[in-house]
Amino acid sequence: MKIAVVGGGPGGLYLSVLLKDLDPRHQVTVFERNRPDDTFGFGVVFSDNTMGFISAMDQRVYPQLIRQGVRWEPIEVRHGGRVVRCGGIGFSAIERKLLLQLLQQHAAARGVELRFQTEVPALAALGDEFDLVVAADGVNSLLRTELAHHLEPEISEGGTRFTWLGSTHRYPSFTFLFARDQFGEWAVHIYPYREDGSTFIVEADEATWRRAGAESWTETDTIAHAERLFAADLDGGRLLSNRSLWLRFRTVRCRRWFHGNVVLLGDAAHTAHFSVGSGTKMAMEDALALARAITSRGDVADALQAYVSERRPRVEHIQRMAGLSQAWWESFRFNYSWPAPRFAFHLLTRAQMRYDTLRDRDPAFLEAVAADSGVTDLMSRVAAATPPGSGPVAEASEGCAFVFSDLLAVAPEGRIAAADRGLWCDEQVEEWRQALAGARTPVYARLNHAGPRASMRPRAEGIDRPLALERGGWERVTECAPAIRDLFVAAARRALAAGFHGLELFFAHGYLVAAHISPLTHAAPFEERARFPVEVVAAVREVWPRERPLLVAYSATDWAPGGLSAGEAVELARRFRSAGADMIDVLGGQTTARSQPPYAPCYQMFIAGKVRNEAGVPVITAGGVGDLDDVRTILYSGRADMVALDTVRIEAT
Amino acid sequence: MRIGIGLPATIPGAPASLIVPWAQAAEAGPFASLGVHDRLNYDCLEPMLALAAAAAATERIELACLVLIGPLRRPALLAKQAHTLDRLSGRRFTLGVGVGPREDDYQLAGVPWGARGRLLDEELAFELPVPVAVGGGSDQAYLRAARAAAGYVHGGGPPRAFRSAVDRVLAAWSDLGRPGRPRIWGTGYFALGPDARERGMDDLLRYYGFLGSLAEPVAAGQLVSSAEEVRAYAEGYRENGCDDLVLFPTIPDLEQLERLSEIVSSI
Repeated sequence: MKIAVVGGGPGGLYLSVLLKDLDPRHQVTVFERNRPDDTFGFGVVFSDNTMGFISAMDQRVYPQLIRQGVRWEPIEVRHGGRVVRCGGIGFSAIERKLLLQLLQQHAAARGVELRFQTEVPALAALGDEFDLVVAADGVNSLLRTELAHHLEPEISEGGTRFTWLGSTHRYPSFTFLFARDQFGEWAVHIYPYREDGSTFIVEADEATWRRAGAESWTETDTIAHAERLFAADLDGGRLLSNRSLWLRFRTVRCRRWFHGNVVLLGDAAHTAHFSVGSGTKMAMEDALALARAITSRGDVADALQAYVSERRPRVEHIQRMAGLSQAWWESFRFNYSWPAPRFAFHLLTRAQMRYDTLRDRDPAFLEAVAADSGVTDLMSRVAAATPPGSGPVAEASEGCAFVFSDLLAVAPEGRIAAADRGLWCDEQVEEWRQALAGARTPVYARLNHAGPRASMRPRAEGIDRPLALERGGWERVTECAPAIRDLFVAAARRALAAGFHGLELFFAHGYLVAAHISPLTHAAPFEERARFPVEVVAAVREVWPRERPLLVAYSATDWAPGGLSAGEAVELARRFRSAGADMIDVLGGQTTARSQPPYAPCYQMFIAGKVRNEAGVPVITAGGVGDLDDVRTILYSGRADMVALDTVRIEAT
Repeated sequence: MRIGIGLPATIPGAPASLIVPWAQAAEAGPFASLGVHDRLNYDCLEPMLALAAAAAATERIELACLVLIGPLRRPALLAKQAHTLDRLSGRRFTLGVGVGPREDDYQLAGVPWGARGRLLDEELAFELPVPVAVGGGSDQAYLRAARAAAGYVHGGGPPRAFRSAVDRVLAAWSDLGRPGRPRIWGTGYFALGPDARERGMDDLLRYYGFLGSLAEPVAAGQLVSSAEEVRAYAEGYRENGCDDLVLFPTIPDLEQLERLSEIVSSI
């Protein structure tokens, strides 16, 4: 097959080598605008996991790459004058220039035609001359731009500014530096890539960067500022620049990766924030998949489809992780004053690392984190949630701080299903008084009005399966009128009379008040969506005694595009708190049928942490919490003060 | 945990005449259920019809689609077929549905691949008159299982991968406030006897060929080819919350079922 590879970076070159290895009859031409030894950036980093994957696929090129690079294990966090290390996470790195030289040599030795300093011929001409055109021309891919109409690229910019520098010092391992000056908070990502050099990326949020006047800095100014700010952490090295501009990170996603016989590879197709160190890794994995697909399938369209099917899910996973990581770097300033071990644990758990994975790698570090967390009795931070249909109050909750009741309707029309319990009349007070008399753990009533999700068949049959009027269904309430507020207040009085020890107003999951809060179900400005729920909190606080906790649960994210923004979620929590809530229960989703939470372990802890640390309110959360290690992850990282856990899970742990 | 066995309905070249004796032998053995897979653009039997044959030849054993590619069928007809199978079998049928991973099946059926999720949702919203389970390894699949089904079907693989999927299904289940617990189905493949590993892998590499370079690790991760491997796989699934593990054959020979019977009887 005749193949044109546009772009002589690691992905394009590696592809050309693999193609020739798999089938020497392929005719491969690489087009590169720059000279062979022009390169930007200092080193590229790979995790052990990546290298394991590549080495399993390719035993010829890989061993040479790895011999030339450097390898390390611990991650070092220098923060507030302290150094915290966490070991066991293997990485290696290689100088970008060296990587390119090696790949160029391999390509030349296999008969790949390398055309440097060559402007790429017009796409139409390429497409006619070659059976396949690979656009490996980077984040600003010209070929992608030319085919934008078909490929539909989407490019989003991050909220921080960063610049790539180098250091003449070989730091011992991955090192993160943090510093604060009169302008704000600054961070540095360092990884060594050769015996006398490390990559040194300086990053700050946009506001800090502007306050410092960095907009007008030259490279020399940038270096002077970094050397001054991180003087204590240069470890004898000098900083170097190499076209070191201050950039915003651009995340590229494409709806389609190929059109006709033109296919995207590496940064041209997708990028992921540099803090997960995956750009070159993804490009090289793309190359492996594409080379194999091309060689094993006769038909180009077939091969390209197979390549995309293999790569897209993996790339999207990395992009999700990178999104979480990027969000951490955009907001670490809110946790800047934390003690170093907690700060470092918060950093390390920003994407998919959890307490148990880190404990297996470095038990001593986790001991320091636990000691620093202030959590002495784990169970005193756990609340048990009563599973629906399991009796009025969950058993198996001994040792927990308190137990949530199932959702209790404030009015009969606010029940989800006909058999649901509630607190809408005085007879129910007596029933609850008896049920609570024997409780050994404090019980908190969860007050709800199901609103648009009322009049459903029992949840055992599925969710949101409507109960027809002729089978006993009832009219659903969809408006938050003052009368609804009064229902909550009256139910709160009954809860008090029944002897509940605490109260939670349930404004989550698309029920009546949640539907009022979410922009997906209520097209109104934030102020208008926020007013009613805050009024209810204030009104209930007036009748609910100070010494008994009042909690407010809400969907801080809709887990759907166009839903409540994180900024709105933080502001709403602040207002609930001012209106009298003692603690905020950060939940998410179910506001529309399109809600799609990512059901990874502890998946709601990120938004919980944001609410807790940016609004400065006590937080309880839930979601993907399977065992006590998940509870530790959330508590030790300072993302919540308490965690709610199903009684089923509590029994299991 | 109960253990079931797959029908030899998805092995290219397997004689269809094997279905009935296989089903009868499974029922006489230690197996709790008979499972089938679904694939359109492949040399195999249609799953509901294969189960209908098995239903007619058995009385006790459960019958399950693990899974049927829902969107290839229209909801009303699917419901009718499920109801028919339910009645033919005397209420022994569980319908596992998913979107399946292969675009070529959709092309052949004339169903748009891009609409698969929506079509499956429509099917699940339709009244399916039998116990329903949802299969798949995506967040959408976990949500569907928790919203609209009574069970979840895992596509097979090492116990650790199974555990991770089950955790996510349970997270969705608990988020949505479903009472109780879903019925969790695990699956795997077996090949036993001389040269079994090789023959089993041959079959699976063909079956998973569409995955490209991932076919081999995927196949290797769910094939058990000795008594020890069967026991370890079953133990791993049992420990991690599996209710029903169904092992599918890769070699279409009754002697395979007998070998597995012996091992399962001793668990």
